Amino acid sequence: MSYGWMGSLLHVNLSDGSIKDVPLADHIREEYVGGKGFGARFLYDMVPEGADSFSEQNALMFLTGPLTGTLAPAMRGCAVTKSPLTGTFVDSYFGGDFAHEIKFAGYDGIIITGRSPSPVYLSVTPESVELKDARQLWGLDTFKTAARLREAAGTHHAPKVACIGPAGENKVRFALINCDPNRHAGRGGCGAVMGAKHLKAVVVAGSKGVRVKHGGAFMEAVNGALAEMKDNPYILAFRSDGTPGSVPFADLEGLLPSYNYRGGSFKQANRLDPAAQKAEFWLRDAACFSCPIGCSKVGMLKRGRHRGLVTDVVEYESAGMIGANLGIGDTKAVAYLTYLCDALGMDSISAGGVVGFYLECAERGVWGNPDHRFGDPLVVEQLLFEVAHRSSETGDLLAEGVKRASVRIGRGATDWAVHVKGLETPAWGVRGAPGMGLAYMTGDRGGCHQRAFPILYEVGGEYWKCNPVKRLDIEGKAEIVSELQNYLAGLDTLVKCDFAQYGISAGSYARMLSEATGLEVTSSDLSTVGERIWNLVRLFNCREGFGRQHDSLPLRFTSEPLPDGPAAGHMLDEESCGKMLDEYYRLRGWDEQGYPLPATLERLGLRQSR
Amino acid sequence: MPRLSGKFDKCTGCKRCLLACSQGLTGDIFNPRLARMCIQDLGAGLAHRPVVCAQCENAFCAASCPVDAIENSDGVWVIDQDRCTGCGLCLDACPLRVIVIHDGRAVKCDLCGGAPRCMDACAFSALELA
Repeated sequence: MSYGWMGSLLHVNLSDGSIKDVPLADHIREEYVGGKGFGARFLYDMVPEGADSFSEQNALMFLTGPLTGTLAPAMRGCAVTKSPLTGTFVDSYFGGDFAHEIKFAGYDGIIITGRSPSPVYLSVTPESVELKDARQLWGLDTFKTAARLREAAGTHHAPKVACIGPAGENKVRFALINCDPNRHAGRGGCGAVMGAKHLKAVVVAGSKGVRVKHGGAFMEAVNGALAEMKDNPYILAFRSDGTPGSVPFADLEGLLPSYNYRGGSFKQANRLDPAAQKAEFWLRDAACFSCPIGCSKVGMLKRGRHRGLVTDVVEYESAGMIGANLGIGDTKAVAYLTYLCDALGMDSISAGGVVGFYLECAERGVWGNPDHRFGDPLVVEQLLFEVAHRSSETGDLLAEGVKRASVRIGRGATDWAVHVKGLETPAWGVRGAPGMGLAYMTGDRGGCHQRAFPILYEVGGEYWKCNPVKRLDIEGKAEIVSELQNYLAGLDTLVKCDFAQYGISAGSYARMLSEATGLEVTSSDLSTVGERIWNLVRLFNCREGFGRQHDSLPLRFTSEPLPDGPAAGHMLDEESCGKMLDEYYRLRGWDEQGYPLPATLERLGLRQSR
Repeated sequence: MPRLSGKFDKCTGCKRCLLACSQGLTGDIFNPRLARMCIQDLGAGLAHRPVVCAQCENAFCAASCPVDAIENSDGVWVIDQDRCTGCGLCLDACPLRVIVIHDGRAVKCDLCGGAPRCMDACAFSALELA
């Protein structure tokens, strides 16, 4: 009998069409728990050094955690692969129903390897697991694809669908996987890997249950977590305003990127905030499976060119990257353009980064149409189509991501290419928040705000270990970043929701995990698991040739002072970056080049990996 | 006995009610397909409707049971687990599709004795007893 875990992985080799169940080894459960942990271990073991992300050597995994599918509040799943955008390990998280359905189908994860000769989709039902012809679906957007597949399956199974759109098919390097219902494995190009494998969709319907070891004690732990969330101010804010609640904060603090990250605030920010969105379209709260928060808002645009469009809240990241960063201060337009990214199957963070980069090229007369200006939704709409379909020279170029596009354009364009390790950075400026800069530099999948979010302490006023944190200090930020990375990587094994974790204590997570699985897990064990994973992912990235020189920030953040906000005039120069990095490597037990030292690996039980 | 009902304007589609219902039935298993209720997707992601047993006046489930295992007790239709043969006719007869088979017997909503677990699990007040 397996508790928490289902005890089995589904392995599908698209090259020869073989499908098999692989038992989940006990030591893998204990050392890596689930989600990110499984992904780190399996990717390191399965994908050979130097493998092309688009080749059949790469693996694409949909992974769950031991609490996914239970009443533990707001658990999710993740997609893991070698990123075609960065060449690093990438783990991309998604809410919704899809991850839970993988558990109900009897699996802890689905591992896809190889490449199909023609478009297929994977169908998992209680009766069978099979690959089916997807030629009729090739070319359809994500929403139509999911609707067709649900229709084909009928109401009896009511399956959950994960699929790609045209961007994934065309190997746009920041293509996403759209997971039922309209939640995304957005970052790092997981959808492009799926497209390269000619896998249009994964359709899952299960009839099994997730069994927990101690039903009564587990529910006590769940109720404890719910009680913590109940009056937590962050949770209440997510419920009432969703993630765009951060728009006014980021704007005021000079953290909101505008005009391709040149600015840190945006004059029309109040036209992207929760009040503006509510006025234009929100009708109700929506929640991912088993989530008691409901940070998503769904509604129907009531004015403008896209009147009648039913769509989701414009998340903070999309408001920042498709709105402020492109100079568009119109909720209606940003809601539609974000919807378009979802439909075409592209990460709206990277899309906003790529289009912002292009608009600056055009403004400077270096590339593209000089009539293209920031703030024009019609130009952006046209570009998004061209990128997703690679249907023009510019679209084809931008589909490669900011890093590759800037190198190919030349003429100084790399100076305003904003990315870390090739991943377009999200909607949080770092010139007034050095710890956030370090988090970007050391993010395992490149420039990412989800591996550590020190802004909460640097700017948000939260105390770190009972002490206030000085915003612009360089010293001490490495400790915050490395410890947050460890803890959050630990929670990413469960698989936690980034927003719910604001309201759930480490002790509650450990209790829920212990009562569900029967293992004795403490909150510090979770951080140790996280540290093990962080080092294993570092080993993967080092094996791919990454090191200190890649742990860097774009020129815009290191040499152009922030023009606005309370930290105006500041930037993160090379010297500051170097200091933070030295401190960070020392705390991590890595050498000066950022390679984990033997003693560190031994302490974490990773000795055998070298 | 009061009646349980679902409100689509409040429902977020989180399905915690389904997990709580299945856990109430089994003690330690979470399986939405063992829930004695369902969440209906009203299309395009715009809304969800919680569908619960209506404790009908003219209960098709009871009327279709070949062994008369479903009886009304103070306004609540209850399946006698000893008499039920698990034939599944009541599942097919119920237009709301809120009866399931568990361990070879049909099971349906009995309002958890007056304190429905689904309602307790709902963080959005989308289920109410009236």
